[in-house]
Order: sequence, then C-alpha cells, then structure tokens
Amino acid sequence: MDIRDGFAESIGRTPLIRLRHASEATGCEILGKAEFANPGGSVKDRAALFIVRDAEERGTLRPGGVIVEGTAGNTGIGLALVGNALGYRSVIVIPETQSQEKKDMLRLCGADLREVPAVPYKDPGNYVKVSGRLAEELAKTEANGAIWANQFDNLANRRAHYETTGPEIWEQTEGRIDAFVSAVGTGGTLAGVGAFLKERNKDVVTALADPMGSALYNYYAHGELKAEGTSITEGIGQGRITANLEGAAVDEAFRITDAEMLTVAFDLLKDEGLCLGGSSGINVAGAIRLARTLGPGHLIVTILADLGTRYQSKMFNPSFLRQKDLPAPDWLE
Amino acid sequence: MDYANPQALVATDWLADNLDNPEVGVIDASWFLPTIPRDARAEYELRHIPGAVRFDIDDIRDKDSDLPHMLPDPETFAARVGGLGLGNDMRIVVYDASGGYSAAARVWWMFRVFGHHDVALLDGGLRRWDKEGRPTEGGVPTPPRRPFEADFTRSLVRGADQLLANLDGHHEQVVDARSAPRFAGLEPEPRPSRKRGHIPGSLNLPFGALMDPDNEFVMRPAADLAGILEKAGVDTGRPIVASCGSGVTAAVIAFALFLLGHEAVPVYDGSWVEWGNRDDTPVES
Repeated sequence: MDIRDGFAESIGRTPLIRLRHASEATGCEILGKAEFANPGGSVKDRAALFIVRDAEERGTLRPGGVIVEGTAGNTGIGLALVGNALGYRSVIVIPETQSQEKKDMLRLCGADLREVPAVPYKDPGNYVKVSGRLAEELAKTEANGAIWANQFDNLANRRAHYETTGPEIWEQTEGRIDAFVSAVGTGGTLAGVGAFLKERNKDVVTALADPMGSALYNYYAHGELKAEGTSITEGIGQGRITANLEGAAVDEAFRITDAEMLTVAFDLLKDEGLCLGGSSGINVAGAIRLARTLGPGHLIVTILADLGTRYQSKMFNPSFLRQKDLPAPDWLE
Repeated sequence: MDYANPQALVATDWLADNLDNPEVGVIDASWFLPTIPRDARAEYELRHIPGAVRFDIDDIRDKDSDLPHMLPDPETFAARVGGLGLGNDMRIVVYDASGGYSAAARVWWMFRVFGHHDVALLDGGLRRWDKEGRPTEGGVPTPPRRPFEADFTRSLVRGADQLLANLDGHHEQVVDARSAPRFAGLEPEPRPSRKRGHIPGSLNLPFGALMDPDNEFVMRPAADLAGILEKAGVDTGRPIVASCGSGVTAAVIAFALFLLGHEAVPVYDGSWVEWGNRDDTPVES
C-alpha cells in the first residue's frame, strides 16, 4: 500500500509536470514542479514543516506551544496547518493588502490573524518586524514556548528545499536537468534547490524570475538593489538579500511584467487546465525566457507554487485587471 | 532609417581623434583563413594603427577543443584581455585588415559574450584607414596590465546540441554567412569537412552582402541591411542564430542585426567545421 502518515508526511514528492505549450514554443522541455499538490496547497508547506521541526529539535517549541509569523499568506497557511497536525497554535501577522481569499483561508485554518498596514521593511510597523516582537513577548509567557518562524532569515527554509525539493527534481529528471528558474520571496526555494543541483552538476544554470517592484533583478543583473514599478503578484519579490538568499549562485536574471505573467497564466489555464497563481505565472514566464536564452534542447524546471483559486478576486477578476490596464481572461468577459 | 545602435560602429575620423584617449583601447584582430597565404602576426608587427594591441583568435581560445578558435572560458578571456592592457572601463575599438569580417566582428562578439558591452567595430578597418593615408606604426606595444572582469552571456552562444534540438520545430532561424556555392554544397570547404551543404532549414546570407566590397567593406546603411535580410528570408521578429564556416563571418550577421537593434543574436561557435564533421548531424544540399 502507498499511504502517507498525516499532513506532515504528505508534504513533498509532488509531481513534475511537462508544460506542453511552453515546451513547444521554445524547443526546450519545460517542467513544472506541482507544489500546489502539497496538502496545504503551496510550496510553503515545505518550509513550514522544516521550520517547526527545527524548533522542536532545538527544544524551543513543545506540544501546545505557539508559532508566530509575519507572512504574505501561504507560509501562514502552511504553518497553521502543520501546527494543527502537530499540536501547536499559530499567530499570523499579515499586511492588510493581501487577497481576501488568503485571509479567509488563514482564519479558516484556525490561525489567530493580526492585520497590519503594509509599510516597508525598514519601518518598525512592518508586518515581519511586528511578528518578531510579538513572538518575543509570547515566548516570555507561553509555558510550551513560542517561536518566530522568521521565514525570510531562518535557514531551515532553505534547508527544506536543499533536502527535499532539490533531490526530488534531480531524481525525477534522472539528473538530466539543465536549468532551474524561480521567483524569490524569501529566497529559500531558489537558493536551496540551486545549491543542491549545482553540487550534483556544476553546469546546471540557476535563474531568477523577478516581478516588477522587486529589487533583485537589478541586483543580479547590475549589482545594485533597486526596485522599479509595481506588481499584483503576492509573496514574491524582495527588496533585500535575505539570509536564505545570501551566497546563492544566480546565473541569469529576468524581470517579468504583470502583463507577461498574466498572459502565461491564462494560457496555462486555457491550454493545459492548470489554474495557477501569479508566482507560477512569473516562474513559467521566466522558464520561457530562460529557454530562449539557452536555446532549444534544454531541460528546464520551475515551480508551480500554488493554485490560482487563491487569487480569484485579483488575477481572474476582469474589472480589477482592467482598472490596472492589464490583460483579462477573455472567457470571463 | 538610422542604425538603432550606431555606437557599435566608429568611423576612422573618430578613431583618429581618439588615438591618445586613455579610455579608448584599440585591437587589431586581423586573421586569415588557412588557405590564404598571409601572416597576420608579421603584418601586425610591421604596421598597425598606433597603439593597437593584437588579439589573435587562434591564441585566445579554448585550448581543450579540437575545433578551431572556439570561445575560451571567461577566466581565460579576462586574464588574456587584461594582459593586453584592456580594462572594463575602456571603450574598445576592434579592426582588422579585411574591413571587419576577419576577424574583427568575431572579437566584437566575444567581448559581448564575456559581458563587455562598450565595444565597437572600426568601419572599413585598416583598409579604409590606409586609403585615407592615416598613420601606422610597427613593433609590439607592451601596455601595463589592467583589471578586466568577464562573465558569460549564454544568450549569445549556441552549440551543436541546441542546433540539433532546433531541427524539430525550427524555433530559431539559422542564418548561414558562407558563400552560396558552399551553402549549396557545390564548392568544397576551406577546411576538411566530411559533409557538404548546410544545416536543414537554414537560410543563406553571404556576409559580404552586408558590407560594401567596392568601398573597403564598410557596413551598408540601415535601410540596405534591412532589405538584404528581408530578401534572404530572415524574419527579424523571430529568434535568429548566425552560423558560417568556423564562427568568424557569422559574427558579421550578428553585428549587422545588432546595428538594427536586434541585440540578442547568438553565433553557432562550432559552425560548419563542427556540423560537417559530426556523425549525428543531418545535412541539406
């Protein structure tokens, strides 16, 4: 029998899907790692589990303890559900600009949700900083411990991808992978998967797909952290080099506009039946750009991070998209 | 119609005015096919544009490859170029004794592959310089080493594996700079080649069409280049790969397209000397 023991055991070993449209358009094999198939619905389940296991091993979290995080959404969902499965409570601090679906989902998962205004990282009222202070306070009073998950700078995040996502991709492609591309929110996926793959084969090319509004494209392309424009994507893009990203080898960098992301995401839904979120759209658009850079015949892997159903009110809402002067899904008009 | 990237081409007047400019580095990239009885090194030592250093594509190359003058790795390129007294902070001007097709355009492409974008071709090269009676000097200058850093621009390079994968679907148009008789397989190659003809589906655009052979091989005006590309069947809205005999004149096609604003045209480094000698490469003739 092929049975997985509960939520934690069900994380990972996700399918690797050949993306027909992107592959045929470029002459490369473009494959998407179906991270939406994790039990919490996103790639963030992996980091959530590793962060909790790491705290358990360190003895800072004991049954009945509290997990605190400042998150744009999916990590919160992952932490809340891992918490439910393993016996911890969760407190999630979220910027109020995030999609209604994600907030509803966090409450539904039983998280204690704290909404704060969206302000830059350097502001003490930034959701990440608020969550850090909250965890510190709770740690003083909670008998079973309270941890700050701190996904941006907690290296258990990167380790999750180094120890699970990277090896899975290597085995699923039988070592034939030529290149890996992904967006960066915390940097855990790109740095962790990239480090593992390059250890196996130093010639594997790693690439960043960066939304507008993020400073990383300019950093890897021109050596300067500088953001331009804005994006409707959530949970990706970064204005600094996080601890998870520190030292990551990034060979190529692409900047993807929302219009390009949406075109790719709508094609994936219409042509292949894959309803994916904005970060997956950025990732597949990045894989297509990388394919054009490397030329035909390469095997390129990217991440299908979560489902588009989490972003119905934005990505698949024609009136919202029209307001932003973005392409809308024609079958909804 | 103007060039979209006019900075990639400099006139002899401009170079004459900038010979003493410490921010300008001049390269003599002259190179001749093995079938041509000329010695580029001896000619350089006899006379070159004042201050020009010699860049030999048969020397600054991948010495582990059996193929002629393949790209070296970035570290080798950086060390050798720095040793010629050229730095990343310089505007580099490349010329040759053939008007630019042999091998100045390839050296221009190599600098871009290795991440140095402030590089230009001297229009008409040494031929025009001489015709205008401008000064030359002999000997070998020994400028002090300068720091040069190189990275690697994958989008500008293609290999046999990519060209083989491209046969199915023709995602990239292969444009071959060799002469029409060589492209058709009617004339032998200048180097030993087991096969004659061309890569299936490729287009023929002899590099000489892009230059004016009656006028020291200066580059043709933008509108002429666009017309010649169109006549050759090249769709400049789609990806293009340039190929030729050994990756030298293919760079003229990449250069002409660059002038027109198509900045990401890769060169098939191995070109026919590789394709024509492999077992797994189909050929059309």
